[in-house]
Amino acid sequence: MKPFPWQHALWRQIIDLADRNRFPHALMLSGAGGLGKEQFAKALTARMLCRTPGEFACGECRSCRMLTAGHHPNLLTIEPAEKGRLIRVDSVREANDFVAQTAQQGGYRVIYLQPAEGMTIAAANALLKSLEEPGSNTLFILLADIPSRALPTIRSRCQRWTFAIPDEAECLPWLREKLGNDEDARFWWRVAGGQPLLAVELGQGESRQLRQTLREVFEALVRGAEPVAEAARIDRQALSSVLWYGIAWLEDLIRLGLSGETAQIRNSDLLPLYRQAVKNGRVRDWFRLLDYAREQRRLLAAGSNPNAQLVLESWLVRWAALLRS
Amino acid sequence: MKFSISREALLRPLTLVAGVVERRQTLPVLSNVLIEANGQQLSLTGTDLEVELVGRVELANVDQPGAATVPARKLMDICKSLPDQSEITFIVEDGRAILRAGRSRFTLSTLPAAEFPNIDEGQGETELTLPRGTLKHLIDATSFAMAQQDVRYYLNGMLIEMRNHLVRTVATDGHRLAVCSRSADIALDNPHKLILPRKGVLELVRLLDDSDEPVTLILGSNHLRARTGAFTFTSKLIDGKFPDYERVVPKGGDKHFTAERSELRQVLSRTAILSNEKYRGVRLNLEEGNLRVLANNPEQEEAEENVAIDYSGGGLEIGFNVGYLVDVLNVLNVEQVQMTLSDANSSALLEEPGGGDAMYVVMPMRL
Repeated sequence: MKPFPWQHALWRQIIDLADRNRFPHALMLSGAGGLGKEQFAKALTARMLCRTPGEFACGECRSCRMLTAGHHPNLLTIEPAEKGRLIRVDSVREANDFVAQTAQQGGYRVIYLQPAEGMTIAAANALLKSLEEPGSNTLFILLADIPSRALPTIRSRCQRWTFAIPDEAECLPWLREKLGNDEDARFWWRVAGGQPLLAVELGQGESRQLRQTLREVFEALVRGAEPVAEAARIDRQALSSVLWYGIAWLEDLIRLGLSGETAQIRNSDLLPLYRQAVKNGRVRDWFRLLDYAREQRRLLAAGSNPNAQLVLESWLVRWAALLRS
Repeated sequence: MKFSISREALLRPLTLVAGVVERRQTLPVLSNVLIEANGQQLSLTGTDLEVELVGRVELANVDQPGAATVPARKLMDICKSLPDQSEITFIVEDGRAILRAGRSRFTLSTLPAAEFPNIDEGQGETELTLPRGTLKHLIDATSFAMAQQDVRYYLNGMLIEMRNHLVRTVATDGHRLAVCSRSADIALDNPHKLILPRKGVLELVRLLDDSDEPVTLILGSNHLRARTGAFTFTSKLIDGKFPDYERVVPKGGDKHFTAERSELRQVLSRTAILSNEKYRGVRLNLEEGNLRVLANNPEQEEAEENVAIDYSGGGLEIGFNVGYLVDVLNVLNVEQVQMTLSDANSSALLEEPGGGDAMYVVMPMRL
């Protein structure tokens, strides 16, 4: 397993640390969700556990084979039991026991924890002692999309590695390979705000369909359609994606409304819609809607289980009010 | 891989090795046992990632060498239920293990041997040999005092200390301490200390007997390995620092008494019945020639026992958790026991009269 092409500079830095025996005992890899931190962390884990590492893990030795088979005794993975749930204290206690004993196979012990901000308070507190001073040859790899949500005491015990949005040139060849052609690659890269993995996810299959549906819904709203009827067209399961798009589009709108420039617009295909909207609404109202959407997204992320249909309907009602005012 | 073996020869190591394999496993490969046949030898390996046990059997001939992993418990159940003296033929081909005996035929699933997390032989490790009886005695004399799931993780095991001509084991849970040392015919440049986890201690002692046959200990940086004839046992270590136990052993106690061990134990066990169920406190009243043991519980029930002791000196009243005292009296294998006290707030020292190879320290309780 190798890191993505746009991570090579960071990879070389981190490998350099390892080769000079200057490796920290805990790393926090932070950055937006669609940048491929997971793959970077997995590649790093594989290299740390590999017995004959080159620039990457060799993929041939017994360690690599055990890892590929899905069970390396020196690796402990801590993840929420279900996606969107929190990491509970029991799994962190398991990590404490793991750190208390020497490595089963010689070499490094790796604890891979994701997401760092998704631990319950009790779980985070239980981790502090081991995270602060584990024995020798121990590496904690913590992943965080939004590191500010993790406890400051957790953050301060880790060396922070931040993943920035890569340059277009660095990820374009990869995107072209995944999405088929240059034009698509550029377009979805912009839509995803520069996050390559997200671009691929959005540009394929159902997500692509969802965006198309949303676009039609919004065009209908501008023409005066009934928001509640339009809401019925949207898949309720996709609530968080719908909010994500709404927020991205609002941000575009605000950019356009304030500067009047089109260069920074992410969804260039929606420009006619934006122009129409800017003519109708005031910037202050757009900000208000943005706050509302972010609050809904936060509630969704915090695990409260809102009624998807109600959220969708009220979301579109608000949009409709602004698009037509 | 192909070989033949008698049921009895396979069953003995298999039972022990399968004992290490835990029933509930998160990783499928851990519920398997690794079978390797080469040359004239068959070896079976089971692990739960904390301890590993390898059992070896000599084979008359191996038709085809090789390695595979098969479900441990199923294999054991099959071998157990086959008739006595059956001859088992074991073949692995195309990822299936076929087991034939007489007119029976079983096909078991396998997993690749390369994915089995067995521990490699380390290099440049210290090796030393002890009589099995010595090691067993050292472990038996102290293992009761190991902590269980304490947050001070370094107490959840046993310290094994080896220096020139001396082996010592230490276990403590923070309330009582057991130390046992014996001289042994070993030569070491540097003293070695390691903490063997609780599970490792309990598994290791099952392999030992009271004989003078040797057991070879191999001390690695990550593992302790013990080799006894047909078995090799490996355990992970606890990655921590054991507390300085020598500071805990009380010095300068001036009240020594000796008592009949079994009598004292019975007296304490009887009074324990009416002690507080949670704290298990008993009061010892030390007088000339007599020890009065008192216990009472929240229901105002009382027990009082008197036992004759060999003591002359001042009186003293001191409280103890009776469970800790009984534990010590259970493992001390002598007629008489000596207890040294100084005052009601200092810990007590229990040992053989005149000091044997084991020492036990018990902290008092305020009652």
